[in-house]
Amino acid sequence: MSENEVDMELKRKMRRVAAPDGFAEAVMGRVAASPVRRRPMALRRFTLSPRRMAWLWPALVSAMLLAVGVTSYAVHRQRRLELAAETQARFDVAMRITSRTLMRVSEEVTRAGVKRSDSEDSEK
Amino acid sequence: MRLNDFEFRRLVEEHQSMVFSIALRLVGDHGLAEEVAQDCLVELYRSLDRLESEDHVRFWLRRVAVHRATDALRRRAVRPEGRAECWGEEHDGGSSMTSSGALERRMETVLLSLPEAARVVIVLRYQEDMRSDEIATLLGQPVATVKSNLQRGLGLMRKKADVMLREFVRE
Repeated sequence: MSENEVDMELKRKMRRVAAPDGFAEAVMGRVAASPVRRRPMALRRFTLSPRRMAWLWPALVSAMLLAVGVTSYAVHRQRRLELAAETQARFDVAMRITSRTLMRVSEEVTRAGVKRSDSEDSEK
Repeated sequence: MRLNDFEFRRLVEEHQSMVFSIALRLVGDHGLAEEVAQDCLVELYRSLDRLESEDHVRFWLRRVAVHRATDALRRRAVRPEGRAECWGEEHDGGSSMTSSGALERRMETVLLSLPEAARVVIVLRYQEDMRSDEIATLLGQPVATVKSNLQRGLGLMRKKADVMLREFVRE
């Protein structure tokens, strides 16, 4: 037999076979005997079919990535602000110390200058 | 889909032949096929919430029937060739005595002797009249794999049919 003949033979002969007598009754009996717990109507309304869920996963992943990105940026920005404030505070302290030191030096210089002029006056 | 018991029974009666035939041609055992087919339809009742339309139900039933039949076959390690010899007498009601019935039984025997993958594709192609791309979607396989299994199955059937035809003629 050629493949074409096999093909035609299969098309002709391979019909569906009738289910045995009483098959539907047997199925209904099994369904009735083991009651199926179905989800409540309110929840069933929110059931998503696999086809509808095809858009859901990419949307969920995108939303999560966005949330992670925004959170990371906020944390990073907060850290930078804190660092800047810390640096400013250190600078202020350093400036105050320097200023006090300069003032002390200036006072000593002034005192030294006054003493010198006093001693010069007394020599004359 | 939301159905009451009456509507579900109508659905069972509409699809029972399809499910039973797929199971029978894959497992080759009448009792096992009936059990597999019933399991499929009971599972359908539990899964109606997830199904949207009649087409979706048909697609779902075919897929579940194929998977359950192949699982049952592997679990029981049934030798389909042995069982298929009495299969025709149960269903043909005497027509197996005619030459046409005998030939048909032999075709079924040849089918059941094929490797499982080729047998599944041939049943879906010729009994369910499905295209290769539809079979590929149902089985979750590439189209090339489906076509390859189909060609392999047809080639094997041709060789075995030739042998059996010669034996039949001799008889």
